[in-house]
Amino acid sequence: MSTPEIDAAMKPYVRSAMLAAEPPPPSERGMIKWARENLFAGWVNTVLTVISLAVIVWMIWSAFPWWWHSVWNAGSLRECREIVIAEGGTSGACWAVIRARWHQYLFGFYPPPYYWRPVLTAGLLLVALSPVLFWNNRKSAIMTAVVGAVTVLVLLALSSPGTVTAVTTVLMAALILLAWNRPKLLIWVTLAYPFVALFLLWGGQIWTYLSVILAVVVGIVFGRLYGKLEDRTLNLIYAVIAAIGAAFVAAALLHYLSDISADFLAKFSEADFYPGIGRDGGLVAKVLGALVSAVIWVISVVVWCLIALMSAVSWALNLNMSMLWDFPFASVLGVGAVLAAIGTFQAARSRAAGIGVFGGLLALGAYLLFVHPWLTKTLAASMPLGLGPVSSDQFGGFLLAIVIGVTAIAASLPLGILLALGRRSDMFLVKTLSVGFIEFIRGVPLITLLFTASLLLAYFLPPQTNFDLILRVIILASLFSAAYIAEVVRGGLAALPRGQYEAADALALDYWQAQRLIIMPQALKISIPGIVSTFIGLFKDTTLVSFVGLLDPLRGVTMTVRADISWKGIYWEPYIFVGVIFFVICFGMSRYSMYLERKLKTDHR
Amino acid sequence: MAIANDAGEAPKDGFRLSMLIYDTRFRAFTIQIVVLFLFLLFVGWLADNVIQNLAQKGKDISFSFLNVRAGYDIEQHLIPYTNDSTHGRAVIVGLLNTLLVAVLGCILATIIGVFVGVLRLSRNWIVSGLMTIYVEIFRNVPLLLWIILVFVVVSETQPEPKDFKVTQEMVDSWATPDTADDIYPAKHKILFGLVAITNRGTNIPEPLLDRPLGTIEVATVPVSLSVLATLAVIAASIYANRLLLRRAHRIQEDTGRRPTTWWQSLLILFLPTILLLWAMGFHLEVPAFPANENGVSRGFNFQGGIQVMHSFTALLIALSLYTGAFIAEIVRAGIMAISRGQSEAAFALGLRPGRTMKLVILPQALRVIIPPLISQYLNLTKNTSLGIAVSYLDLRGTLGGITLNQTGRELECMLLMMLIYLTISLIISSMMNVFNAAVKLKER
Repeated sequence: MSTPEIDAAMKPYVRSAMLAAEPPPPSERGMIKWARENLFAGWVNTVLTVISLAVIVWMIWSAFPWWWHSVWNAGSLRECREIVIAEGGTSGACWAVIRARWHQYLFGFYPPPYYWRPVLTAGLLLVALSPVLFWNNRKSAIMTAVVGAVTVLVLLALSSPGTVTAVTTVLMAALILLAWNRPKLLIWVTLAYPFVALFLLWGGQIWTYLSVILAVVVGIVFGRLYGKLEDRTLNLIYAVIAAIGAAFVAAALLHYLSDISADFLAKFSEADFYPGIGRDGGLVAKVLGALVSAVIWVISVVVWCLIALMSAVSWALNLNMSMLWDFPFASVLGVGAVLAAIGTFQAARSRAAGIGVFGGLLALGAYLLFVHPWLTKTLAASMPLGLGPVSSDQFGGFLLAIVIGVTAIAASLPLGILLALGRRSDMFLVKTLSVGFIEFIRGVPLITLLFTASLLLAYFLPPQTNFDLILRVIILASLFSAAYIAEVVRGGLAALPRGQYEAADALALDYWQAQRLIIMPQALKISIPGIVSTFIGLFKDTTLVSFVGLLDPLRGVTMTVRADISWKGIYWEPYIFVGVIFFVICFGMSRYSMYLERKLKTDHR
Repeated sequence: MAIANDAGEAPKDGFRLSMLIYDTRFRAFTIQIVVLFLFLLFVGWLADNVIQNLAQKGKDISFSFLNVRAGYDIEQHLIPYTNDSTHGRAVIVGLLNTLLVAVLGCILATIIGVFVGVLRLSRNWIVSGLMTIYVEIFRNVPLLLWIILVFVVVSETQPEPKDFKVTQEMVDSWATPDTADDIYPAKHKILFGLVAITNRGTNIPEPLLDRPLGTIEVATVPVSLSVLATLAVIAASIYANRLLLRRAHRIQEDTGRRPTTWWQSLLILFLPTILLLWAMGFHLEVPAFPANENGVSRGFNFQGGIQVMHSFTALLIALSLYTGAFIAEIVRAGIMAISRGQSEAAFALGLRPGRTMKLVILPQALRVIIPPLISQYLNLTKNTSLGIAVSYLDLRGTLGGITLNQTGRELECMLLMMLIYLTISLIISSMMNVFNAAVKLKER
C-alpha cells in the first residue's frame, strides 16, 4: 500500500466549497411534476382526468363545426342551412336570427325612433350606480368615462337624432368632469336618477315630474319649518295649521262612517249563523250553537267596524287619485314620497318630531291633491314640453327585464332591512307581523304571487281601479325578494356579538342611531354574499313575468321569434344568446360582491 | 330620552301624555297600537274591497266547484283519473305530480351536487375546472331557460315513432340470403332495446306482475297489496340487517374480533325481496310496436311500457341540474368550513382517510350543509311550478290553470293553491328545525 492512499483513508475528507445544486430529476420538475401531482396522482385521479379530457374533446368535437359554420347573413332558417351546405358543412349556427331580431330582444316593441331613450337611460343608470358601487373612489370616475363614451358610440350606431347625440355628449362630458373633480357630488345624480329614468322611458310631460319633485321640496320645507321658526307665535300658528289639517282628515273619516257598506251589515244580519247541530239537537247542541254564533257575531261586528273605517280611508284616497295607478306617475310619486318622508323625518327629528313630520306630510298631500293637478295641466297647456309617451305594453326584452330587475332590487333592500329589524324587534306585534309576512312570502312560489298580481289584485283593490301590470309585477317581485333579504340580513344581525349592541347603548345612542352607525354597517357587511345572491335570483326571476303576459326576453320574445314561419325550428341560437346576456350580468354581480367583500374586509386572517 | 333613576323605575312626577312618544318605556306601546290599528285598517280595507268586488261581479266565495266534473284530461296521473273525475281529484292528481317531480328532483340534485361539490375540491386542475364551469353556468342563467331548452331539444331533435317501425320491405330484405341489401329501421331503441326516446315521449319498460296480490281501495285510491308487501319485506330485511350488524358489533366489543358479515348482509338484504318478486312473477314489459306474424310493425306508436312525457323529463332534468349546482356550492362550503386541524388530528390518531371522512369530517360538515341543503329542497319544490312553461300539469297547471280558467273562481283557486304550497313549505322547514335542534352543538 502506498502512502498517499493511506493518507487519504486516514484523513477525514472535508469539503471546502459548496457543490452547485443539481437540477431535480426530470420527473420532479416542471410540467411533468405538475401533471403527476395534479392530474395523475393515484388511479382515481387518473381516471377522472381521462374522463374529463374525453368529455372536453367530445364537446369540442361535436360543437366546433357548428360554431365554425356560423351564418350571420340570412333571411330565414332554410336560407341559413343552404349557406351551410354550400360551405361544405353539415350543421351550422344561424346567428342571422339574432341579427334580424336583436331590437326585439333588447327593446321589445318600444317604438324604433325612440331607441335612444332606453340607451341613454341605461348609460345614466351606470353613471348613477358608479358612486354607489365605488364609493369615493377614482374608479367611479373611470366607470363614468367608459360608460359615457360607450353610450355616445351606441347612440351614433343607432343613428339617433343629431341633437340627442350632441346633448348626450355634452351631458356625459359634464358628468365625467364632475366625477373626476367632485366624486362626492355624483350621489346627487343617483338621487335624481329615478325621476330622469322614468321620464326618459315612459315619456309624457316633463311638468308632471318636475311638479312631483317640487312636492318633495314642499314637504321637506314644511317639515323643517316647525321649531326652526324664530317667533314662538309663528310656531304656534304652524302647529294650529297642522292640527286643522289633522281635523280635516279625521272629519273625512267620520263622514264616511255614516256611509259604510250597509250591504255588508245586511248580509250579516240575514245570515243564519246557527250551525246545523243547534236546530234539532238537544239542549247541549243548542247551547253550543248559540255559543258558536255568538262568537261569529262578535267577530263579524269587529270586522264590520274595521271595514267601516277602511272604507272611509279608501273613500278619502279615492278623491281624485285615479291617476295614481298610472305607472310612471305612481313610481315618481312613490320615490318622491319616500324621499320626502326621509327628508322630513331627518329634518324634524330633533325637536317636536311629531308635529314637524305630520306638517310636512300634510303639506305634501295637500300639494299633490290640489296644486299638482292644476299646475301640471296649466303648464302642459301653456308650454308643452316633453317626450312622446310610450305605454307599458310596448316594453319588452331585456329592457323590461332590467327595468323590473333594477327597480325591484332597489326597492327590496330597504324593505328587507326593515323587515329584518321588525323580525328582531322586542315588540310582539311588529315581530309577529314581520314573521308572518316573511314566512308567507317564502312559502309560496313567485309564480303564484305574480298570478295574484295579474288576477287577484282586481279583487283586493277598490272597484274600477286598474293599474299598470309592470308596476304590479315590480311591487310583487320587490316584496318577494324583500322577504328573502330580510332572512339574509337577520342572519347578519344574529352573527353580531351582543357587545356591539351594548356598546351602542353605553354610548347613549338611540335605536336608529345605533342601527345606522354601529349595527347595520357590520351586519350588512356580513350579509353581502347572501344579499347579492338574492339579487341575482331576483334578476333571473324576471323571466317569470312572461307567465302574466309580459314580453320577457326568454319566453316572450323567443316564442314570438320561434313562431315566425321563417325561423321555425330554431332553438339553440336564441337561447344561447339570451343565456349569455343573463350570464354576463349575473356573473358580473357575483364578481362585484366578491370585490366588495375583499374591500370591506377588516379582520386579519 | 328620559333618564330613569337607578332602579329603572318611572320618575315620580306622574304620567304626562307626551311620555307616550318621548319615553322609551311607553313608546313601544304607542308604536304597537298604531301598527295594530294600521294593520287592521289594511285588512279591513282589503275585506271591504273583496266584498264590494264580489257583489259587483255577482259572485260568492264557495269551494263547491271542487265536487264538479272536471272535464279535462291529465295525461300523467299517479292515481286513477279520467275527465269524468271531479276538480278536487284533479287538484290531488296535480299535487301528486308536483310532489313526484319534487322528490325525484331532490334525490337527483343531491347526487349531482355532492358529486360535483367534492370534485370541485379536487386538486386535479381539469376536473375542478370543469366542475366550476358547470356550477357557474347553471347558477347564473335562469332556470326557466334550462327547462325550456331541455324540453325543446328533447321534443324537437328526437325521431318520430315511425322511424322505429319495421316495414314489409325490411322483412323481405332480411329474408333474402344476401345481407348486403338488408335495410333496417332508421332508429333503434337504446339501453339494450329497453328504452325508446321519440318526439312524443320516452318509452320505458313497465314492471308487471303475473300473480299480483290484488288491490284494496283506500279513499277511492287503489293501493296495490303487492307493492305494500314488497315494501314490508324490504323494511323487514333492513331491520334484520341492523340486528345482524348490532350482533357483530357486540361480538367485536366482547372479543375484539369482528365476524365477517358482508355476505350475510347481502343475503338478508336482497334474497327475501328477490324471492317475493319471483313468486309474484315479476317481469318488465318492454315498449314495442305491435307486430303481425311476419314481424311487420303496425300502429302509430309504441305500446306497452310507460310513456314518460317530455314535459316531465325536461322539468326533472333542468331542476336537478340547476339545483345540483347550488347544492355543489353548499357541499363545497361545508367541507371547507371544517378546519384542517380536524383531519390532521384524525390522521395523528391513526385513522385511515375513509374513516376520517366518516367519523370526523362528515358529522361536522353535515351540520353546516344540511340547513341550506333543505332550503334548496324547498326552492326546488317551489320551482316545480315552472312546469307550466312546458305544460306539465302539476298543482299549478291543474288547480291554478285549467280548473281556474274553467270555473272562473280565481280567488278560491289561488287561495287554495297558495295554502297548499305554504303547507308543503312549512312541513319541510319544520323538518329542518327538528333536524337543527337535533344536531345543534350542545354548549354549556
